Amino acid sequence: MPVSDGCKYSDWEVLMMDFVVLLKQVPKPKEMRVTAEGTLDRASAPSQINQDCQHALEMALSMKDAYGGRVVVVSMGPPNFQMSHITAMERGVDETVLLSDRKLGGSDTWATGYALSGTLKHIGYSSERNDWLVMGGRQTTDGDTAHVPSQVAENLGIPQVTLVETCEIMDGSAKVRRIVEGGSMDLSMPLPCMLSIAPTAAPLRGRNMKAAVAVKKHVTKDQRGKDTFKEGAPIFRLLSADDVELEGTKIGLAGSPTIVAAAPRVEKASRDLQLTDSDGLIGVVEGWQ
Amino acid sequence: MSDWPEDATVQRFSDATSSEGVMVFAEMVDGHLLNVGRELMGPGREMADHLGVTLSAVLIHHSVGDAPQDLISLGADKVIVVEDARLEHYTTLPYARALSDYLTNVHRPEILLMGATTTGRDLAPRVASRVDAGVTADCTKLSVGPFYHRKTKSVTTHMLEAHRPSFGESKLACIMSNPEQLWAPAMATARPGIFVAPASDSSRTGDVEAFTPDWQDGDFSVEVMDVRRGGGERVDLGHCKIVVAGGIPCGQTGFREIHDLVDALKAQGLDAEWGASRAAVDAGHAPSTRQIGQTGQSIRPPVYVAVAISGAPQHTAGMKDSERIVAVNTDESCTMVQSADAAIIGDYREVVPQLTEKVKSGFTFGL
Repeated sequence: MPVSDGCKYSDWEVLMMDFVVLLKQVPKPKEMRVTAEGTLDRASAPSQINQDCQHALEMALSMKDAYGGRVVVVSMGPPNFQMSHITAMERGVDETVLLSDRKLGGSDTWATGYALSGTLKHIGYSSERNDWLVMGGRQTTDGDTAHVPSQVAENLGIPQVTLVETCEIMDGSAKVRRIVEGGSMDLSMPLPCMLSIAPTAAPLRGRNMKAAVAVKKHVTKDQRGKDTFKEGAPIFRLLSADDVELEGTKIGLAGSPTIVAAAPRVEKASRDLQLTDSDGLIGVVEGWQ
Repeated sequence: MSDWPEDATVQRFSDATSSEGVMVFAEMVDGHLLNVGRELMGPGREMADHLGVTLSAVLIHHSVGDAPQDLISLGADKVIVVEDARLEHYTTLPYARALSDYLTNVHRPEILLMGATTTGRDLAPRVASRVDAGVTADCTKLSVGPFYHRKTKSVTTHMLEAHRPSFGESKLACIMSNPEQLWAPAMATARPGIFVAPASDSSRTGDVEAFTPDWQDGDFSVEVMDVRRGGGERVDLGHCKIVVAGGIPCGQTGFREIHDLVDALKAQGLDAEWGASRAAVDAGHAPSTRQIGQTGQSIRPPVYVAVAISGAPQHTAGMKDSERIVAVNTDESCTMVQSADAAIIGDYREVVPQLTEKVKSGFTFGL
C-alpha cells in the first residue's frame, strides 16, 4: 500500500494511486511456427509483452510519473510470464503478480475475466476503494477478442471504457479519450475504473537503467536459462487458483462457456506479389483476368 | 461433428438452457440505425427460420424514430425498444443494464448477435459476464449445428456455430457452447460489412415492445463530456468498384494525386472513390467519413489501391478481403506491399500521376 509522507502540496496533486496493468505475454507473431498437427507451436516461439499491453503499461508508467503512486502488473499465465514481468520492472514497475495454475488452462475470456478479477480482489483492489484504476491492452495478438478488460470490469463491479488513447486524473475522476467510429469521445470516469488502451496510445518506453539495476538483484535463471524471479523476491508474487480462492467450476476448460469445436485451416486467397512499375502494371493487370 | 454413437444422449440447446429465439442488438448512432444491425438481420432471420423460432431486435437509444419498422421490414418479428434521454451516447453501464435486465427478467433468447463495432465489442463481453453467457468475437460466419461431447457422451443440437478467423487468419475456428457449462444466450459479435442485409419488405408486420430497465445507482456514473464524429455525409465506399486510399504521407500534397487518379477513373465511367487511413484522417488530411479500417469502413472492392499505407492491422482489417490489391509505397518490406497482388515501389508523387496518365489513355485496372 502506498504510504503518505505527510506532505501537503498546495500547487499540484500527488495522488499516490495504484495503477494496475493487466499484462499478457504472447508469442512473437512473426516468429510463430505451425506444428505438424497444424496448431501453433507456442512453446518454442520467442515471447514478448503483447503489443496492446505495452501501450497500457506505458500509460500506467506515465501516470505514475505525473501523479506519483505505484504501478502493479497482474497477469494470468504459465510461470515463464516472469520474463515479461522482469521486462516491465526494468521500465519502472513497482511490483508484479502472477496467477499461475494448471487448473486455469483452457480458460476462455469469461473464465479469464473471473480469474483475473478474483486476483485483483485478493491483492486488495475492490470497488470500495477509489485510490486505484486498472488498465489493459485493447486485445491480444494470440486471442484477438478484446473481451477480457470488459469482463474483468464486470466481475469487479466497476465502470469500464475501451479503446482509450489518453487519460488524465482530475478532480478525483479519470478523463479519457475513447476512439469511436469516425472520431472520438471524451468521458469522465469515476474511480476505480477499467481502461482498455488503444494501439494508437503512446509506445512503451525503453529500459530505465536505475530500475534495471534494482530489479537485477531479484532475478536469476531458471533450468532453461530464462530469466525468473528469485524465490522470495519482495517485488513478485506467485499465486495459485486456491490462493485466490477461485471457484473450481468457473475456471479452466470445463468452467468456460465456450469451446473451440473445430479449427479447420483455410487456404488464404494467396496473393502472388508482382513488383512492377506503372508501365508494367498494365501487363500485370491483364494477367489477372 | 455430426457423427456420434447411437447410445449418446441427445438434447436440444434451447431445451437444456430454457431459452428460445434469436435476438439482434441493433446499434443506433445519432438517431440512425447502423448498417451492421441491418446486416445481422440476414443470418438472424436464417437461423430463426432454421430453428423454427422468432427473431427479435433490441434498440437502445434516446430516440429510435422509424428504426423499429425498419427492422420489422428487414425480418424482425419483434422489436424491443429501450428509450431514455440519457442514452444518446453509448456508455457501457446503462446499455449493459438494459440488455441484461431484459435477458434476466423478461426473456432469454438462445442466440444473441451484435455488430463488432466499438460499441458491440465493449458491450457484448460485459453482458456475457453479467448474465453468464459465452461470447465469440468478430465472427465472419454464423450457422447452427450439433456438437458431440465425447467426455459426457452427449450431443447438444441446434447450437450456434460462431466462426471466426484465428491464428493470423490461417484458420477458421468454430466456437460453440461448452456442454459442461451450457448457458444461454450463445452470443457473438460479427464484423461489419461481412453479412448482407436482407431485402426490406415494408408489408411485413411485427410487434414493438417498450422496455424500461430497473436502472441502478451508478448506471449513469460515467459522464460523456464531448463527442467528435466526422461531419458531413457518410461516403459509402462499400459499393465501389475501385477505391484509392491514401496514407499520411499523401497529406504533404493534400491528397491531390489521389483525387486526380479517382477523377480520371470516374471519367472512364468507373464507380471509383477515395479513402484514407486513420492516421491520415487524424492528421486532418481526410474526413473520417472516408476512413478505412477497424474503426472506419470495412470494404472489399474488386480493386483496392493503397497509396503510401504501410498496412497496420487496424487498416488491413478494413480492406484485406479486396479482390485485388495494388500497393504504391517506398518501402518494399512493408505489410501492405507484401500482402498485395501488385506493387510499385516508389514515391507516390511520381507513381500516382503516372497511373493517372495511364487511366486517361484507357487503363482501367482490368475493370
